Amino acid sequence: MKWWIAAFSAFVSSAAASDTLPSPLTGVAGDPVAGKKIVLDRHVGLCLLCHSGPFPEEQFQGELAPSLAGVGSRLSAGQIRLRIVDASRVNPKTIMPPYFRTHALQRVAPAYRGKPVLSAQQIEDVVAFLVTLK
Amino acid sequence: MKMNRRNFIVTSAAVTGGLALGFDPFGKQVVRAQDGSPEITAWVVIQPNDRVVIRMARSEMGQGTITGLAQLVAEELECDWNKVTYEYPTPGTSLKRKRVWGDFSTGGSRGIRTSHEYVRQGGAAARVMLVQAAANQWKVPASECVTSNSVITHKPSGRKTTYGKVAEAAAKLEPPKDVKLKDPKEWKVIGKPVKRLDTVDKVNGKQVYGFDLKLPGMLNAAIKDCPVFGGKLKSFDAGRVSGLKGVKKVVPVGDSAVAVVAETWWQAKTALDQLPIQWDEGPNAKVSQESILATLKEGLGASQAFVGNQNGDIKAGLAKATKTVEATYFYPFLNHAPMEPMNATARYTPERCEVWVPTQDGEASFAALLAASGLPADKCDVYKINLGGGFGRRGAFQDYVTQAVQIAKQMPGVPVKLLWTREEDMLHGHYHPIMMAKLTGGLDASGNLVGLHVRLSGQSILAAVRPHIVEQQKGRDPLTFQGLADTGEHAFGYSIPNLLIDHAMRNTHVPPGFWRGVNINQNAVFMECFMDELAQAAGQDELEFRRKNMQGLPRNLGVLNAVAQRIGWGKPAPQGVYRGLAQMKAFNSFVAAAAEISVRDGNKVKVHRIVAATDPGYAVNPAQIERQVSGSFVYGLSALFMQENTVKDGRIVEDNFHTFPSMRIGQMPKVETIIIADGGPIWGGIGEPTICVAAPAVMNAFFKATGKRLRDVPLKNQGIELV
Repeated sequence: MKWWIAAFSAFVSSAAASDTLPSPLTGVAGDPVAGKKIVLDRHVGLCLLCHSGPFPEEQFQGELAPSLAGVGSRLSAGQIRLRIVDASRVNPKTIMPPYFRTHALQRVAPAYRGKPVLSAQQIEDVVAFLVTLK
Repeated sequence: MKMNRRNFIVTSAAVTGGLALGFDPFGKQVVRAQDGSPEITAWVVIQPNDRVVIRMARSEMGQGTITGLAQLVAEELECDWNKVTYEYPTPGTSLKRKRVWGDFSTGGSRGIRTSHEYVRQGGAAARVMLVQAAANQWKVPASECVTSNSVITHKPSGRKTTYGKVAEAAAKLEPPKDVKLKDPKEWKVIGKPVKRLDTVDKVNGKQVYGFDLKLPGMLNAAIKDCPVFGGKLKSFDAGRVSGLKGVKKVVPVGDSAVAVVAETWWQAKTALDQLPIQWDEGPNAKVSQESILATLKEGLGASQAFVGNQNGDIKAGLAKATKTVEATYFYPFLNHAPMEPMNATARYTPERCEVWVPTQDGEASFAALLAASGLPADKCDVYKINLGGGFGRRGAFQDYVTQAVQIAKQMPGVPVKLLWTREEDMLHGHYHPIMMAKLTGGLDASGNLVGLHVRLSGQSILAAVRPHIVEQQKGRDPLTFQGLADTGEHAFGYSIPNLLIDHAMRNTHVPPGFWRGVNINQNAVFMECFMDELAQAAGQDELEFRRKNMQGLPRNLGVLNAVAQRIGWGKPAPQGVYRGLAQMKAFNSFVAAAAEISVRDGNKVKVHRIVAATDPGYAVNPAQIERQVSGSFVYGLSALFMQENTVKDGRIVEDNFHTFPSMRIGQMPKVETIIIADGGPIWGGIGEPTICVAAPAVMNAFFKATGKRLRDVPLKNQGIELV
């Protein structure tokens, strides 16, 4: 396991009870344009598998999870960050996959073991985009 | 009643289940469909609004057989294709009517090729009866009437009527004894890429699969069978889970399994996960992949083997050789892993037992139902549901039907749906047989192939599944030699002077089954990769070398030449792209493939393009053939690169898709299909044959790209990835 994943696992554990993860995962500020790409890309974020959002140009949006429209008004950047990193910290019964947890997962194919779904910088980009959805 | 996806199946199952016998005092007995519409022949029901319901015994599981068979009936019936729908007769009804619909088995690429004649006759007879009914009404000779698109026209007077209007009268006529079928030159619907009959229901969600069937008052069951094949259920502690929410009953099933029945399937599944179970795993728990491989290796050199194909004198042939080439190949166990896991729904009372099941063979399901229920055939029936994938798992093997009836018998009157978990499905398959091969070829000084010995060593399917055939053959399994046989639908595609192909049968405790393409998959890898090895040892072009050894095999040569020409064999490939070839005869069709690949970092393989030729003699729906061939490569290439089942402590190790993956859409090559359909006396199959040539074509191209010869499937075990 890479040191930063281990470090953040510990960090997330300590932050869990508070419903928010206020500190960015990297020192580089998130890029909302890159974040939007990740959210919409069915091969990267795949957010629209479950969520819908204010993206009229996108077909076949999800209906399993809350709409992303207005998420920036409902949640703070830290709250959004925690939900992407590991939504089960907020709701243990969530079906949302943890995008930055690599332990205690089920049935991970050998090629994907020990790797988070998104990198720390990708998560910062997504957070930077989602906070703009007011 | 509000029509939704759930109750749709209940009503449609009732419709397909019931063909009422109506008695007409003024004519012959008319058979009526549930809605009262008359049956003209067993294949054709015509509703007053001209809608034509075509009845088929074969099962639809994505392969398109229902559309193809309906085209055959519609061709002779001369009906309006846009008014065609289909339904399944039940096996119980068929039995009562002396098996009027013929064989229900849907496997071995037989759907079209073994029923084209009688289904066309069913359509032709119905047309004759409809015309006669109109002629009787008009009091004119039937010979003056013509038909087109469900309309009958009396040519001299110009009078017209429709099939729907004369259906009642036609149903009362005696069917003609001998009907002449159309000359293929007259075909208008056969050979056309008409749209499938089942697409709309799939797209709008109306299609119900077995695992989302819901019956009134139905309970749900989850099951666990002893993970070691051949093991037994020793005991379980029902008291530990009987108080859990929704749990109704915990029941033993046969002598090796236990099931939890609950209100919802999730309740049943989670209770089963918590149920303490003791297994008697038996002696098979000592078997490992290593012990199985050791047995197969021993077979490669064994002195005794069953002969599948021979001519000339192999010893003399190899003795003459100035150069001998030898190689050993391997092909693993594979689970069918259809998207829809095994399931069946059963309702039992001492007076009647019924099963709803996605099945490749309604009659095999019926037989399993009868054996498990102990009731006579007239008190039982099976309602077929379209399958979420079959690939050979759901035909000969009806273990889930047996289990569903065994469970339902312990809860009389209550419909119970048994649905396997993915893990149960992975651990209790009927696997592609494990096989090794040692090939020895001799070349003379001019590079001519003067002798070839192919020694197969591994598992027989028929010894486990159809032992009477193996007994008739004095222990030999003829199916092992698919694509290598001396004659018939799987005849060998080369003319080699001194030849011996034999099989050291080495059976394992892992149950074998018919996995899409069955034994052609490994035989094509063994034979077609080795042909490249021989050509390269002889210093000859791989295409030319094959051609020299294909005397008197014009149709094999036809497909090989077709793919070679289309891929551009002999002309330069794009930079970094390498080509490979393969050919075989399977299920009475001749098939060949040419692949173009590139390899990055020595192990990352991109398959750019596969040209695949199939010569089945007749092409009923060319669009469907293209889809079948492309779809088969998803399975063939997934198996080649990434799939394998292995054995540890007597059980299968890979229990879900994380360790038994399938290729992704981005990994799929472009497939160009060539169909050769020049007629002839024999019709070839489509579902399976072409799958087998993709893998060796890619493996041969890999050698051209890297100089490294691959001989063990799957390629992931050699660190090779499909990108």
